[in-house]
Amino acid sequence: MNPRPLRGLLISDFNVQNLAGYLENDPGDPPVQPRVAPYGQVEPVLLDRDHPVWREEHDFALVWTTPAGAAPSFRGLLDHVETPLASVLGEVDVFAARLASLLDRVRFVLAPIWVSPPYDRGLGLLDLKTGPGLTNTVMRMNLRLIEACEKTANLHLLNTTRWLTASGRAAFVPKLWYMAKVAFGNEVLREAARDIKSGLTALLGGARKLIVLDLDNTLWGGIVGDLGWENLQLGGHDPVGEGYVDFQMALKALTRRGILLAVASKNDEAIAREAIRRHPEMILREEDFAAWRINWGDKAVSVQSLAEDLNLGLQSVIMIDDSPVERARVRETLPEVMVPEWPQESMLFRSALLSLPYLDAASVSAEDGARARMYAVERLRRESRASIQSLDDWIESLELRVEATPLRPSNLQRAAQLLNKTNQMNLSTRRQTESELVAWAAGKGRAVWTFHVSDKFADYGLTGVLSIEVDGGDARIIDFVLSCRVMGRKVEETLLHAAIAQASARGAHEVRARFLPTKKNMSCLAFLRSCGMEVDEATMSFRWDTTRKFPLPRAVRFEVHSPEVKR
Amino acid sequence: MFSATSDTRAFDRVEEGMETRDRVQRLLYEAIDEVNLGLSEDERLQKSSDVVLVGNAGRLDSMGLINFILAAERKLQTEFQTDLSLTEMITSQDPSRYLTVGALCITVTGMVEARHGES
Repeated sequence: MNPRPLRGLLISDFNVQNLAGYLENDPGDPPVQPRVAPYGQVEPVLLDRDHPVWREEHDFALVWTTPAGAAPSFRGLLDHVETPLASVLGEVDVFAARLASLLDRVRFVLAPIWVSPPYDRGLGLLDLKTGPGLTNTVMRMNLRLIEACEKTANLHLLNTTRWLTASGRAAFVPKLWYMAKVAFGNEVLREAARDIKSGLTALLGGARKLIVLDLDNTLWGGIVGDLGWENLQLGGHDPVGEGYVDFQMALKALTRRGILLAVASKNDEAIAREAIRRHPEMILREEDFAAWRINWGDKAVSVQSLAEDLNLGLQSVIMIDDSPVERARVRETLPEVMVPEWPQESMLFRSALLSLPYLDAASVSAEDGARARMYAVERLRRESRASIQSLDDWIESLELRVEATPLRPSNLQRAAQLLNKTNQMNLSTRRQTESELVAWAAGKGRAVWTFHVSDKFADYGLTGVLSIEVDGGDARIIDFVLSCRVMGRKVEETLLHAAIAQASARGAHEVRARFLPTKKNMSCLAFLRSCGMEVDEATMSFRWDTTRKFPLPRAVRFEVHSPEVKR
Repeated sequence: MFSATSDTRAFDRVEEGMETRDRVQRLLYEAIDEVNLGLSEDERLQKSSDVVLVGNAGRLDSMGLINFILAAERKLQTEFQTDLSLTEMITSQDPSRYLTVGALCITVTGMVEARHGES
């Protein structure tokens, strides 16, 4: 996913050497190269920009402190000395500001929230009282920190409590503290490393986007071809049936976060689809699935074909199947697909699903929530395509509309999200945070536009980003990014038309685009080779002379919401 | 000459001793697996009785050794339902002398058997 390891600086008031080891050696993506800041020097490292640790560049910083490490007044509470809550919370505000100040040195800042160890009963019944209660104060500190940080892009808090719960009694190992000043058991640190990597994957746009599901004994109990849909184990007053329903509900909830569902099942399609349509306790219906392959063929072929159908790379796919044989087959054939081990009992399915990593999102937009429906609509569109012969005629029948808008605060979040998530139709795969994108766009001769696409079936939202840099008579396309949702419908040509028109309006005689290859953006190269630009294969550079207009596709209705982009 | 009964008892003791030693070795290897999770491929410990834990040829740094001790203690405690402290024994070891996984296995097996004998 990432060609070089992400460099991370770990800053803590306790020993995080073990965490560094787990981050570095966990085989999951992204590869991380951690550096540990000198132990116990949180404030000097945060405050002093000339501190030796900043001589190296870091992509992200992880700042993990004990409550007293961030708010010194908290120490008084540990000694049961009366301590004004306002002092503690004031120190939390200062700490939050210091975390935010790191963002001019690193791209992302991560900070686990504070916890008090479960062996410390505080004052027992008073533990949750405002004033003397330790746990009460820690909860208030966390809430204050959350409120102070939530509006700062690229500053993310991590849920330490989850790691502690997952680690049980091994969460705190007093001997580890006394022997090495490690504040948490190694199981906590391993959980932390997994969540940190999963969060970084989301921030880099590499989170999984599609869950491919088996049907028999996965979405319902029993073999539908043998039993008939009426006799499947699903719902009812039955713990096993209830387990399947809960699993389906959790999957449905994920679709509202933008995760797509598809089916790959060895079954008779008509029988399986009848079960999905008619079983009264099915939570997931046909419209919840972006696509399906229900046949007797090789499941690996089905999964690959589903990913192709949905314009997603295999690295975006998770496959859930009750059969160890099918899991092994897909793992072996398609190693980029994540195939988790799966429990045998349906009562464990929901928890297994919700504990999967790499489904994290750094933010959720309106487009994410509507994505599953969009793919269902896409199926309708394809059915309509089947009856129309020419591609142009088909696109014309869609009544495609593309609107260009310059980068603005209102579209910044989605533009950055698209820039960071899009792999296929992406010229340079330039990853930018919101603040980096704004700073870049403010440079001389530079401009960034977003593209909103809709047709008679649906509104796809903001699905394209284009940026150019004009220097005298030369213009360069820097970002040419289009969501896979709208690829192959002449929107690519529309973006290129906009880029060339704008460059020409700014006095450029020629427009160049340099293709930077990755493992996943070959569809962008294919488009550039076919669009009519002059190509220099040696440098993978493409050129257009602006004395000629780049034609706007006949079938596209192009609208501009700013005088900047001219038709 | 042993009677049939005392012969059987002696045989059982040998079996029991072998079984405890195998279990201890398995737990020490599991502790090595756990320590290896935080080490790069070329730093990882082999699961072998010859591996030196303490001494000039030891592969682990001090943090790695602490991780190994605590992982092994926890596993031994869970398996044998008794507190066995390896901390003092290992950390007070003269670094000019080697302590291998095999030697530790023999020592721990003795400790476990002594505890079971006491009870």
